[in-house]
Amino acid sequence: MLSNIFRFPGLSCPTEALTGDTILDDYIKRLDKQLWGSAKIRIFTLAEVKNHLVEAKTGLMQSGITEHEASIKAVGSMGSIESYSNVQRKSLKVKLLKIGLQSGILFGVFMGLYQWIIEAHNNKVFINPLTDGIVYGLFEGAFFGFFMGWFATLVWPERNLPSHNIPDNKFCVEYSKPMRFLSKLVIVVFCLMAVWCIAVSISEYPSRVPVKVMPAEDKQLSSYLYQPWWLFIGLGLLSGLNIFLVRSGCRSFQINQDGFWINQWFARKQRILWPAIKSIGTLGETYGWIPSWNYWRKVKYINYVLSNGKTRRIYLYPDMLNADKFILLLQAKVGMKD
Amino acid sequence: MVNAQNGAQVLKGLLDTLVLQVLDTKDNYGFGILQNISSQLDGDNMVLREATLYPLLHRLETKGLVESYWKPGQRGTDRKYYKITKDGKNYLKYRISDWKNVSNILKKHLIT
Repeated sequence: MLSNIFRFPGLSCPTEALTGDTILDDYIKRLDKQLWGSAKIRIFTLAEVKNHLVEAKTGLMQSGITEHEASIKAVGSMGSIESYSNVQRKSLKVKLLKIGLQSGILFGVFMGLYQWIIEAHNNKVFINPLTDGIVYGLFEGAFFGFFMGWFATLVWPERNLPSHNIPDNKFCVEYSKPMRFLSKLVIVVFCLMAVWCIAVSISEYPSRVPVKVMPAEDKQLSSYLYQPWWLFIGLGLLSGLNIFLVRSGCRSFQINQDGFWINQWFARKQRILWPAIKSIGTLGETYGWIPSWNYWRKVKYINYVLSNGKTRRIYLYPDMLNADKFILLLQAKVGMKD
Repeated sequence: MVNAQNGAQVLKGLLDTLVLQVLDTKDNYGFGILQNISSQLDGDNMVLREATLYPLLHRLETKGLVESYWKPGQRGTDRKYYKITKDGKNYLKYRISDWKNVSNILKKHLIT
């Protein structure tokens, strides 16, 4: 029963993974039962195993044995089902925990703060505003984190096989239309909640002062912030942001392994950013990669004070050769004299 | 206990190098890699089994040493091809030099 939660939707073995040979299909079905994720996720593992079984069976048949024997031998050579399913489940488990933890913390902090702010100025307090905020944050964060982890890891990605129309034949995943709509809706609703939360927190703070002495302008501010057109402004801004993110490729994903997705933007960043960095010069001519944060942290510089009083900064990159550093500093010094 | 399987255990330490070596010559898919390595080892199927190969490929892909893409196969099923990455090539170089050192030590001290 519990394992079925991890296999929803599409509990039965996907038909694309079946070969038509009962012996091979039996193995594939038994393997499918051990895998996690929706049918669209499980196919990543099943398709590879299916291909292997078909190839092995054909090879054996060419060596002169009957189809039935070839099927039995091909299945026999595959070994235990667990060796495949364990790898798939482990990778999904890691991803589930990662996404669950991230979204849980985000949502938990958000809801905790919201509860704290709300309780700070009304009488419906359970223990005290801060404790209630923490309790709410933990509870809702855990619940939401688990849901998001499950949904984003095991349900969300849609298979796109075969992917021959995609450059380099990358194994890509696209979201279906309803999923794309839902994703937009979720982001918009969340951002609206954030806007609303900020508006409420700002507008409610003056009300901590007893109503009788609340200045008129504060009341005005409060009613101003409660105006529903704030929501429309937020909606407009977020739609704009969404369009920007979609256009720039930040909202589409590429998959490389069982459910491991790579953001298109990151997948393409080398192609996009590389020419830009190359145009800067030094790094581009020397290095064929995008420097990490750790790399930038180690970049040192020396300030040279020029004769006209201006400062010239010479950057020394951590993996430069000492000879290069020396030449650079020498050039800077010569330049300074000029 | 000393038996013939102990030799296979030693060879298992070599598997990642063998797989990367096969992929270094050209992109290949699971079954192709298996056949290639099997022929290199004179048809010894005990060293690399299917149940070892696919988790190994998965591990190599997670480490970024290989990357995969799908291509239509000859028999109507899609094949998942693996391609060695730049990191994979560097890793392979290091592994080969490691094994060369091991081989030299064996030649000097153990094999007379």
